[in-house]
Amino acid sequence: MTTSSHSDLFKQTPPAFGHEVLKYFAFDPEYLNLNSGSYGSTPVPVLDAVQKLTMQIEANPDLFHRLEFQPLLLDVRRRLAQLIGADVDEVVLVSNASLGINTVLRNFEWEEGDTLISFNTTYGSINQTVKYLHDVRPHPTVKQFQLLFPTTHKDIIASFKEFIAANPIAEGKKSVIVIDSIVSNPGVLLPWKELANISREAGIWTIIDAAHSIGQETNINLSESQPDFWISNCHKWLSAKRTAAVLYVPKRNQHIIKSSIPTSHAYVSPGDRKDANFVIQFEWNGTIDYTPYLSIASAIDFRNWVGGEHKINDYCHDLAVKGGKRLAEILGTRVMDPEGDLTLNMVNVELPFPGSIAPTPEIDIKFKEKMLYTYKAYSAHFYHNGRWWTRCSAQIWNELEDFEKLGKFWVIVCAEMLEEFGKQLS
Amino acid sequence: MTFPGPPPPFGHITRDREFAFKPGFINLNCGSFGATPRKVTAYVDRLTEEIEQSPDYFHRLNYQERLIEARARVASHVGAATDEIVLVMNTTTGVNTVLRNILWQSGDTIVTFDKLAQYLSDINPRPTRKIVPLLFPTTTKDIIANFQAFANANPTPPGKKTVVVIDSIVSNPGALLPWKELVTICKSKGFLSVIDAAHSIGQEPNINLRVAQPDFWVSACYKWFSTKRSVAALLLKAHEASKFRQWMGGELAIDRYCHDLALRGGVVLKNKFGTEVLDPNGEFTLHMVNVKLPYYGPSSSVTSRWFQEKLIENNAFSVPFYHNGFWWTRVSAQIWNELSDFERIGDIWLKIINELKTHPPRGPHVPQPSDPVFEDPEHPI
Repeated sequence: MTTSSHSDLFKQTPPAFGHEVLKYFAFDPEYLNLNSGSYGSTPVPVLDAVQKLTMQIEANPDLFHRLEFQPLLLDVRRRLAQLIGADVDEVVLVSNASLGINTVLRNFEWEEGDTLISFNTTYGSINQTVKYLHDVRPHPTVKQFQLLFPTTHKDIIASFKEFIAANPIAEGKKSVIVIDSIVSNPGVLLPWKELANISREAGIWTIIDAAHSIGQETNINLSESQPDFWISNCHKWLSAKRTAAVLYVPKRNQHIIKSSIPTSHAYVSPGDRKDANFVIQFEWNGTIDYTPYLSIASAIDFRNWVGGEHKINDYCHDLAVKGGKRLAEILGTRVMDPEGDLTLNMVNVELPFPGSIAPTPEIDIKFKEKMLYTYKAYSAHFYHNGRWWTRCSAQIWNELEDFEKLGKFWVIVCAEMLEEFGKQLS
Repeated sequence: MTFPGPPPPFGHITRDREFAFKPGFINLNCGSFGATPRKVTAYVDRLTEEIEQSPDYFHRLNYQERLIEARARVASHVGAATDEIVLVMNTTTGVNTVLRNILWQSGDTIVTFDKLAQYLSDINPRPTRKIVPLLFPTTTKDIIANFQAFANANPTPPGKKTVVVIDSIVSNPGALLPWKELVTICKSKGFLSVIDAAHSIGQEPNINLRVAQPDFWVSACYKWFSTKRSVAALLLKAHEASKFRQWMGGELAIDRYCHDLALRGGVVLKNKFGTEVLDPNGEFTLHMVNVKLPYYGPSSSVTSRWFQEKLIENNAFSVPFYHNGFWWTRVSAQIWNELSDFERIGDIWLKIINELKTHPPRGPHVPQPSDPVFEDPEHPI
């Protein structure tokens, strides 16, 4: 752990990408981390800044929570707004993407005959939210667009167009769709801007689940792409302390978000409002630990120091592509996305484990236990389109040899799993 | 994790050794944001390191059993089964979770001051919002009688429901309510009771939910129970916090110290101010005492925020609030406080009020709310 203060550290030459970066992270030296996409990781200088801020808060909790935090929060929102091409008054912080998307979905005043659209690849908790909203009155209709990988952007756009055309909105009703910018399982970039445009043209409200976007997808320009709502986690790829997420609501849609979740003391009944009553509602929603939100400033500083968003993501993307190929060689399988359409910093490679063995909770736990306990390595595993896959996240601390090491572990683990569970095949 | 050596005595030695306040800061406002003991912060740092060593290991395989342990400890403390206790981010989230899950119908009633009720009554199907006024000074007997009268006058129409949010301990003023008796009345009328017990755990002894049987109950662990701020993030933090409190002497000893100090501190302040305490009988007082400020200028002449800024300038804090026609301050007694803290903050208050009288603040007029009981919208409690 470094003991230098931020400003001292950032005067030094930054490390080269690869294993030299590991000293700025707090991993167990024996742990091979190719799964940044799930929970992210906090650089040590950011952890230090969080610790310092924690002690500042404890020194005088009243001073901090009543007078000091607001300008710090505003600074973070400004920086984020700049990163995503939005106005600062369109950007607020929530604790994670699930809550952000729930905030939008639960603020729509649903009516019978309305439609909620998601994908089979939509994140689990979001599909469950959609299900819940359907389960309670007034039971809006639910539709699901099927996405099966491998496929290409071109094919996705074509079949999506068909789907939308086949599901017009009922007269006087509304339709809301959740579109992932980057799907979790598999870890793939969707042509979300095109899908959002198609949806918008059909009169459908678009919620972009961009959980994986900020810090991985460069050139996000929301004032250009104009989704109705956009939510992204800052702790996955933007190096902030777990957890913090951006909720973007353009001014034209802020009237839809009547209340934050939970409702704030700053809530004003819509009929009584003299202004948007949007940003203020998200400033305080009950006491929380503010350090994750405020860590975003240090996180961005750290990332700028090591090279900036473009340099970081060029490295990671390149490594994801090379690493995926190498991994597929070692596993004797294939990369899901050979053309690279779908690949940013995550790559999906088929596992040498038969797709005819369907997933069960037992198999899921066994995969995790073997990889994490025995081999101290991990890349997310999942079942999709009748096959088993692993999703690797390439990060600035990774090198090609990490993929090679990981590959050898997966070979062993899959062989062991086949022995244990393969009997059901005969 | 065991704590080495005997615990320090309550008071300033505990403050300087076990807590991380800026030296010189007179903290008489544990009630708002709590304070994390150094040993618990250190534990949190170690836990953070552990998580960062392998985030997947922690989040996929490890945290669940530790969360169960934390829930079990909280459950045993409040007289509930482990499966009846979950951890959420803060009290507001807990109350929102309950009220937003109720399948409201037109004709239902929600009884509370909470802004959430205002929101719920603004959207379909627009349940009716009612308020039971609560004005201090009053007595436990009157509160119960008042609520009984309200309940009698507002029976639930057939096929509808009434949901009542009851504070176990009100924030402003800081006062213990006869909430268990109010729950009994709710049950007799078929009302659902949701207890906003934000201030309870770690301050209210003998919570025993098994006996009290409210329908829902939410309490913040970071206010009085010494956990790290914002409880949902806390896993073993609740565990460590309760071990810290055991080591310090246990809940009974802590309660005795704080309660006694609150009462004595209240007397010191009211004598200094030449005013009165809100609760002379002590029936509403656990570890927080409310004392009338010696300032009777028009309510529009000063804001809570102005008082707060002055307090912070003077490196001290107790919550100023306006209630039922007067300005008060709510003072929290904790294991790091001593009677001299009350003396000193009393002098600081007198200084501030003198300044207010001789140099009234200028600036835009901030209208005082006309509701008799309110939460200052400028700051959370």
